[in-house]
Amino acid sequence: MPWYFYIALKQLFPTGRPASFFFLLSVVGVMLGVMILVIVQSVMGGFGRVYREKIVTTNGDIRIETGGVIRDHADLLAYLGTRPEVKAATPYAHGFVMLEHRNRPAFPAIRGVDLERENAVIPISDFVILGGFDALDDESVLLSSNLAKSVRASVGSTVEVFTPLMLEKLSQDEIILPRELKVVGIYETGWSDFDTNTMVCTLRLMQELYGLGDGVHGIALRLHPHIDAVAFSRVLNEAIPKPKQAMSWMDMYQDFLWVLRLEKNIMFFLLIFIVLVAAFVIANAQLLTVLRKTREIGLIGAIGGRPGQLVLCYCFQGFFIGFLGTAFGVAGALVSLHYRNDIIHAFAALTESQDTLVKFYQFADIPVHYVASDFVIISVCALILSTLAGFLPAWRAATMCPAEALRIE
Amino acid sequence: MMEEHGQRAEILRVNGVTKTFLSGGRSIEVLRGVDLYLNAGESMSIRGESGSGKTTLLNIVAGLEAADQGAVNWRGRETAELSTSQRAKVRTEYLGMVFQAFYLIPELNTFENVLFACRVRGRVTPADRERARTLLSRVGLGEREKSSVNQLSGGERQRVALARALVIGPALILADEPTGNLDERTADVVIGLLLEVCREANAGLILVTHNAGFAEMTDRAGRLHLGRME
Repeated sequence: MPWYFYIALKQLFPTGRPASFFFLLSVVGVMLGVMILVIVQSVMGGFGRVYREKIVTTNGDIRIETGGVIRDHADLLAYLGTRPEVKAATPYAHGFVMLEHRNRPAFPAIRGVDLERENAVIPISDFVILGGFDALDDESVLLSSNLAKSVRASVGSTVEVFTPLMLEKLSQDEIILPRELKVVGIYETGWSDFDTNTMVCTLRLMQELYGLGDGVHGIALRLHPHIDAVAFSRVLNEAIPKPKQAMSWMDMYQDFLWVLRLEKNIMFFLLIFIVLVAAFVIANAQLLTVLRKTREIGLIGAIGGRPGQLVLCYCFQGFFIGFLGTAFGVAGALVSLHYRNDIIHAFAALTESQDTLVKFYQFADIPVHYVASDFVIISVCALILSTLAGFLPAWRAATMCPAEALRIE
Repeated sequence: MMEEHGQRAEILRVNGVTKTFLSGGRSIEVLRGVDLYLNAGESMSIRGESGSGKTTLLNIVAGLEAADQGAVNWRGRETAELSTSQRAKVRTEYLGMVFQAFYLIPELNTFENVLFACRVRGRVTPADRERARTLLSRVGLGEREKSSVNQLSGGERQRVALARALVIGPALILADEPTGNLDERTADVVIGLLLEVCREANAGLILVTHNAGFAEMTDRAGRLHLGRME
């Protein structure tokens, strides 16, 4: 081993003596910074993943719409059935209605679904928490949990629905009675966009309410796993006639996904300062070491050590501290993340806030998603900052004149 | 250029070295044209009052400081013609240094301290380890090779420093008041040992000392006075 690496390690782990206190302090500093960064990035990644899954689950991978009514949806469905990338496709119609129950009005989004095909694309029956999807027919609806709560409806209730078509007829002095529909189920997806103010009915009922004839507003697709939705939407846009347009879930929610990414990046930017502070601890400790060891540095120069080798010696110490801190930080983060739910539950039990977690955050467990690139970026940043932290003391050591260093009392 | 003085090869020649320091806006001429030479296996003492430039002269001889004027030749190679890195490289093979304050590395044990000079020179070979062990035995510390240098007495530390200076097999040993921190009895032992091992290794020795008795033990004695060698 070259002497500069040898002496760098010996200064950290002296023969017959415990490791230096400053060294341990510096390692702990980097470790904490890396640990917090990995935990936060993994948890943010976990939330991001949960949100993405909710979006995909409640919207499908791709939607084909025209902005109006699609009449030839049977041909389109037949074409989509020939594409190997497509696992399932279902037509839908959507819009807004006015709903009333016991004089409590609401203006939910309504979605008419094909009872035969829907579950293969959007597993709505899995989200039903009261009643059942199987009971849905042309005289009934499913309400989202928050909508049901706001109009105080439950399974078995009858709600009155007005559509824009009815309102238009009303304006022509026609007497139109609201459509009475029975609530046969309440659903909750965990995705607030869907749970807040939506309802589901059959496609036939929606076509009738909106006067669509046999037209639909769009087709939702579920792709086979590992098919790139964005790339396939581009392929579809080449294949299907205008004005039909295929949009992937990422295109539909690009603003939201951008905010998710931005949040994660901002958290990284803010938390990297912890590693930066740790780097200053390293620089401080190393500088103290250089000052304490001025005469030894002079000796090394006197017996033939070169300035560049001294730079390598102290930069290596910074790198080594960073390496250990990063390794322990990543290991500590993985252990903490493994026991995250036990920790949260213990904390919630201690503070009696278990219900609050579920009520306000809709989860009792913390999601986590490990992304290799996060680990690489955090580790590389920590190593670069630690090595740079060693450079200032290294430079000071290298620029010392051995003769002057030896004279220092 | 290498010259022969008797049967011995010249290993060091210093010609007309001058050195001036600026202190408080005043220039102090420490060395005023110093000349000296040393042959292999020869010892020379340099005495002088404090501040007479003894350490500065040794630093210039070692290539740690540059002279204002004059030249220093190591076995015929003029040091001014070498870069800082080249001088450092030559020092690892040519020069051993012993200091008043020992300058042992506290993180290394006795054996590691001795071997450290070999590490700076390059790769440590089994022969280097053997030589380090032999030297430690020669200076009476064969049993203490695993000891921390912090557990050694002043005399023992200086003997370790001596072994470190000799382990690379240098042509020249520069000893700057090596007994300055030692009691009289220990100093006698260390100087006796220093002269003996240098003679055995056929290394030249320049010994800076205040002690007239030690100066008389060397082959030649010089005195720095008012910046000149007498």
